[in-house]
Amino acid sequence: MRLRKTHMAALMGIVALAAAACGGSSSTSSSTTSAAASSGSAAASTGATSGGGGGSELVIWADNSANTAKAIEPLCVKWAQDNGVTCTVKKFNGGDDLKKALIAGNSTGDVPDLFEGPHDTIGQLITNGILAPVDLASNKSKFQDIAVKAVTLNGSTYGVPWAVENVALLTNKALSPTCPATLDEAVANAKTLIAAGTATSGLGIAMQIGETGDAYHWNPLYTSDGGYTFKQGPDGSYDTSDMGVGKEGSIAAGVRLQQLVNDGILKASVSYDIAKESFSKGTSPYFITGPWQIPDQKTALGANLMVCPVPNWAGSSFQAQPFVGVRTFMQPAKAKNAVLASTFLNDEVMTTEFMDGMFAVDPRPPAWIESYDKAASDPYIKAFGDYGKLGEPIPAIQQMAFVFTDLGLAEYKIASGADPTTTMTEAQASINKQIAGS
Amino acid sequence: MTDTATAEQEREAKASRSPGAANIITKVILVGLIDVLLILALVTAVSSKWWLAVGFFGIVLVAVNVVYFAKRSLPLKYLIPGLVFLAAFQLYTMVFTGVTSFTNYGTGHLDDKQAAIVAIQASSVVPVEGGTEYAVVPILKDGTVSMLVTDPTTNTVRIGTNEGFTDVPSSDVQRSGEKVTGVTGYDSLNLGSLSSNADYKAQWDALQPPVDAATGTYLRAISITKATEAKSGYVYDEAQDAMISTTDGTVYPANSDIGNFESSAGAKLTPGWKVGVGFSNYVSLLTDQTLRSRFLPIMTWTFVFAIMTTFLNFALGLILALVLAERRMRGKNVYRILLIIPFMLPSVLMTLIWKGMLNTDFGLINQVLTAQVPWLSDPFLAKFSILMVNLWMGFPYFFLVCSGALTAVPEDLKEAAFVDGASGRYAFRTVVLPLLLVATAPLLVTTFAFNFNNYALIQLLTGGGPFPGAVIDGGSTDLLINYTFRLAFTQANQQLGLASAIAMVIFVIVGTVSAFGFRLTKKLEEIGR
Repeated sequence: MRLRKTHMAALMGIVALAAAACGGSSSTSSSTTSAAASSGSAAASTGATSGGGGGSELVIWADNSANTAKAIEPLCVKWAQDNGVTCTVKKFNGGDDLKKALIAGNSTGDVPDLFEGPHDTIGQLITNGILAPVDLASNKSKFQDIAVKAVTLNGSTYGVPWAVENVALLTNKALSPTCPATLDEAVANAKTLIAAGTATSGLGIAMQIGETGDAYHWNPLYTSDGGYTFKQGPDGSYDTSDMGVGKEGSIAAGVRLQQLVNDGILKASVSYDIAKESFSKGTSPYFITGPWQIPDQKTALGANLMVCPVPNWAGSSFQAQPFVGVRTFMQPAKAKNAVLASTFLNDEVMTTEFMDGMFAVDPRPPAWIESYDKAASDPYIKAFGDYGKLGEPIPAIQQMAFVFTDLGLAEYKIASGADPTTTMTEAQASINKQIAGS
Repeated sequence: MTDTATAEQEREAKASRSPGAANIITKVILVGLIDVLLILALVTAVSSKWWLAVGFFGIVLVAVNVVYFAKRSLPLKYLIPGLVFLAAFQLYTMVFTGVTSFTNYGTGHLDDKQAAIVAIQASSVVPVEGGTEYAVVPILKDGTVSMLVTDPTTNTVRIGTNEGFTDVPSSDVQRSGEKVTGVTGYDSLNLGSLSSNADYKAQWDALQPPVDAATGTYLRAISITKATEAKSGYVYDEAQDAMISTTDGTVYPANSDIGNFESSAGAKLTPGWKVGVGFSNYVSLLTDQTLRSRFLPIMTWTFVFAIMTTFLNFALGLILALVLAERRMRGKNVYRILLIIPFMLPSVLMTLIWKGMLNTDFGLINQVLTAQVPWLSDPFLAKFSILMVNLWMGFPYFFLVCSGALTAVPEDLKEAAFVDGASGRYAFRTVVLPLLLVATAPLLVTTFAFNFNNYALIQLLTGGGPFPGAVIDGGSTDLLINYTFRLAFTQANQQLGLASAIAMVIFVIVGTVSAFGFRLTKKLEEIGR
């Protein structure tokens, strides 16, 4: 069965490639098309051109899985028209495809002048020699601190942040009328609801773990017991010799995780779908998730939906911190039109009009303070944003990827009953070995 | 008589000529179209200086025209499209993978040395903390681009070049309101006129008027209207072939064995560049303790999976085909339709649905069983589940193939066997099965080869897990291809060289098994005769 499908797919692939090759040869450069083909079905370029630019073109690659590219395009085209140049936004279905095309295109010189993506890829891109620093200069103070911190590495800023995202505690007012003041209160409430049969066991706090774990969603609970990953110095650098997995706080967090699983609050096999469905059906009072859930949950819960910070344990000195991801405009070192890119960033992107325009089409909490203050009239945006200010940026260094996979796996194993101390120590050894080898 | 003969001859001649003429016209148009495409491809390849592609398209262009317009090369006319695609999509990838497997290509080693030098210098530029921000205008005189700089505090205007600054008398300064727009004797450039001229653009990008020679501070344009003070962290010294830190003077000589600038203390600068590493990828595959401890079990499971899946799918398909071939059976069409359903559904979707149904706590299967069977999270059960899911999706294919092949087995042969006193089972084993295998053996070989690299099923169902160690690397259900893919693409530290080496090993294994399988098929065909 599958054989035939494969043959068909192969045949269609050949036809598509041939077509792509033809398309490329009739346009100005074939390298554009080869990158489009290598990034799979992802790239669909749209040439939105404005008249009379004497051939100089600003090329931006952007992720269009959540309207980002659609938000950038009209703003950029208008700016280009005003300045007598042209702007092309190439749309990708997902940041991974964009990153792959960028890494693949770097050696052939097939890179954009600017691209948009999450800040935590900065480390990997610098290691590959792809990124150039972008000086925020006097505009630095107009961004939220955490956004600037996120894009700063070794004393330089590597992009212009535009949106700040983090998880928070979605709460169903029907099951928990107010935001829990402490984690103890949330757990006690969930236990009562489970005992009464209102909430499902394992979903007292809906938090996705799954077979490979999920360190991103775990981070508020992980840090609430003193766990950390890497600590950032004042110049934005990270000390990779001080990695928090396997240290005291992480083990405490592991012990707590196992306790919560035994109490029926969490469960190892909860996936994203299960957590989401349970919260929207009203069988979970709490749900640790990000702003992308708001539209769906608003439909499901209506006025009962409330966004709360993840509180701390009673009497604990540790802050439950979410990981903060910052969407950023970045500039490749090999940009063909660096002057267009930097002028666009400085004269256009870092303005309130542009940031407002981005929010209007792709409503993520803005990184630009003036735009954030306007957007915060929405209580959900404000609640996520306020909690995000207590968070920490996802460390943008390449080594963080080792932590994500291994800490996630440790989370899953501990939640499935493995000994917290042994598991965390194993994860520590494995991560440090990979850091040493990288 | 002669008249009719000539008329006949003429008619014959016409008959043989006129379709020939039509053929030639069609041929010229089609080959012409192909030529146009190839020439376009050739031109683009030349303009992007990809000489390998230039050679390839050139050879194809000549070959196509010679083959289709020469009289003699009839077989080649049929073969050449296949050969061209074989070269472009198979040979090229194979050679490329092979070559890559002898390099350290991967994260931090993606490009050549020149690119690494440029990248290290570019990404080490650090803005001076609390430095002044200047308003600038790009200006042009005699083809040279320089920077008209206005100091925000003193309001003095200077012209900055890479040599330094020259003061401008305030009478020469052109202003529009408060804003400085140009200087007498120079043309001011705007975004359009600067960026559309490659030479001006390059000059502007390279403009770094020195502010303070002692500290190495210079002015750097951060847009066409603004410049800030900055400093390079590393400078390349060609004489020593080394990077030198401007902050503490550390020297990082180029180490071309590993493709990095490396200080005597062993600190490396990123990015590095791509270098040949000989057989070291293959050697580490065999000798590296961690790699070996993962590679061998994964290879074993890959074989087990491919063989078991082929066997199980074939066996179940054959049994069902035999059952439905029975004449006394009623409602055959209903059964047939039911059995083909798994084949008609998109396999990606089915895999995801199965993944949901097999969830330990919330899956349908465990809810029906009211049990907590760890279908996908126990190493052994996960393997079992994968085989079962693949069986569910794969048996209808062999059911269809066997049903068809069974009808081709001559009835009289079977009857002859029965007349000779063979039992049903004996007749099946000695007469029907060998004849069936003649038809299906090539399909078995290709099923094996396909499943040997069945990346999607594993990726969607278990993602390679459960993972025995503390690392997501080498899971219990990983096939070689999944493991390779992870090494090459999903890990933060991409090891494309090593992944290519594994890909070459997979290629050799699949190639050997297939060659062996097809030879076996040939033997079976002899039985058929």
